Amino acid sequence: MQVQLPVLVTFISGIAIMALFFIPREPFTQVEQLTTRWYVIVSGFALLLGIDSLLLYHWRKIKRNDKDKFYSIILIISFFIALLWGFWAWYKHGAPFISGSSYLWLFRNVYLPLDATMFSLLAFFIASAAYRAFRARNLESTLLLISAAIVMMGRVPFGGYIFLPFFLLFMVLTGSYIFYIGTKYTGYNSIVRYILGSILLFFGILVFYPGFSNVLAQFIPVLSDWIMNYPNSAGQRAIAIGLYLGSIAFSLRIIFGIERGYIR
Amino acid sequence: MFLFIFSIAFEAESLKLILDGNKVILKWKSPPVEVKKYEVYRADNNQKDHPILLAQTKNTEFTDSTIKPNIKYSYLIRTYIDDTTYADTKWSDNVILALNVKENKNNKPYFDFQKLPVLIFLLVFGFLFFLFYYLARLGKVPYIRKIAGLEAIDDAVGRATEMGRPIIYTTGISTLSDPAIIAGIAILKYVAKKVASYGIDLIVPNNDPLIMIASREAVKEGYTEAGRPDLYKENNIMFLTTEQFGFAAGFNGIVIRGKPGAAFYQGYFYAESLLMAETSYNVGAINIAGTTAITQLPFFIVSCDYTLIGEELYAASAYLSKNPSEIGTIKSEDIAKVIIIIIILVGALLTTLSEYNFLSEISNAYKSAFKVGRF
Repeated sequence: MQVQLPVLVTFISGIAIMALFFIPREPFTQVEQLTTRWYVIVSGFALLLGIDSLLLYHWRKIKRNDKDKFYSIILIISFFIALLWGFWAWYKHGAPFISGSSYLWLFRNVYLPLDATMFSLLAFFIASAAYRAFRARNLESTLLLISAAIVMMGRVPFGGYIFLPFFLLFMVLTGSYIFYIGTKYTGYNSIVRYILGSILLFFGILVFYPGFSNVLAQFIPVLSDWIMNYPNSAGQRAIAIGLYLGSIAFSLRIIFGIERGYIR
Repeated sequence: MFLFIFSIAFEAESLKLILDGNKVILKWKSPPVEVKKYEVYRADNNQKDHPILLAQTKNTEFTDSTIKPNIKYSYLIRTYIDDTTYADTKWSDNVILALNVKENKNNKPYFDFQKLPVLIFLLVFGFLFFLFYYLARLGKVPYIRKIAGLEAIDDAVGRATEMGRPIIYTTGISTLSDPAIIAGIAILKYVAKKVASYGIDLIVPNNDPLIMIASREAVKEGYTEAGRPDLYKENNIMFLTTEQFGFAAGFNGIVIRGKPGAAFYQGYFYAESLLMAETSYNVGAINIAGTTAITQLPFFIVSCDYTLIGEELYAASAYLSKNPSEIGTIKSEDIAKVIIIIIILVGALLTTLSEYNFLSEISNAYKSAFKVGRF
């Protein structure tokens, strides 16, 4: 019974919600809103359990004289300040987040800056993660590096012109390297490398010709948009289609009780 | 010039209120300056000293669907041209919803025919799903390729044990109604079972109390199945906060102080994904991620050792359970993918041909056959 009952409830709820998606008529359209309301009510009560867990976790750390108890003390003090301040604002203004409420001041001047600080850290984490990801270790990561460089350059003002010295450096170095490799071969293999190296060097040096450099600079934002709109969108949609199919199959496994990992 | 600029009134203009069934539609015109945002305020029963902020928007229309009968509602639009400079409209006249006003929605049909393609696809997919389910039960279990991220779980737990460090696991910041979270909890149970057999600590910070309760159950069950219920520590599966970056800060604090040997990110994530994954990378943890959030996948791929991409997360619990009937259902996804690819290819071909005035009618009929709703 401990297993059958949850499976039965899941089955009935799942099938009902699925069927209601196709019925535009009242009162069926309100069922989803109703269940969402139930979820909010249950979550509200569950929040008490959450608060209990949070306070107990930190109280235990203080009690056992943990070396990090200082943070726990700050958390508990901040928790009660915010709670009592909220009740006081409620009593004084009718609601804590009402215009002119001191709690709104606390929210805007303490909470929001802290929140923004955490979010701002993301820029530095992106830089460190990008440094690791953009190392040209193999063909795939080299392609990633090149496309990422084009997208980045294409999305900033004058990005196309910033791109030019990098293009020159890349073409000259790669062309010279291929040319150098060509000296180690003979016959056909050597000629192919000489020609390829020469082409790269030629296009690299062509950057000094204003007509070519202007066209190249204006081409970068276009290429950046193309990468984002076509290869990137195609990849994302492919993942999304797989994801939605996976989601339907997973939901069916749960609704029909095939997968019961979520119950005891 | 300055006088001219300051002489422009920049409050929203011509605020109109339309009572539509049990909601009020507010429409206004934008002033002749660049507007940063509008704030919509409402006063209930003329309590204009205590207005309620309903929304911040850049649109010139807002629908208030939270009104109740027999209360007088008045509205005001605050127009911001930068973060601190704003101008208000006058309070609108009161609107009141009569007690017996009810939108007549019962003239609608019992089936939404615009959603017919969805139903057909669901039935086809359901047929494939049960076909492969029963075939697997009859012994025809399909081959499922190895998923590196799931194979690495045992190694990650083993490594953390050798290092004498705990393991940290999070399902992200969505709600329990999200299938990704349920999939994450199913993997948590498997990880808990492994952790219990090695006898190390498993820390599970949560941002939703309901997920915390479900996680506690899953971990407890995992420890019990491993035969070590005595090692289960309820205090290690804790609630942090419902706020996104507050959760990220709390999680990172635990990671920096506890230095886990392995970090698992299995569920749904937003912008906090990289903040958390980079922090655990920096303390030397082996990172295993899995998410259905497409926007966060690149961040996990660059900062984690293994990443379950999209549907792999949903397949994970079936893969780990090694239950043939569960594994069988995964095959139906592949067949459905083939059908979708064929539909896309035929559609692309017909659309291309119709550009050259060839098979245009068939192309339009084909497109309308897959049209759902207003799209």
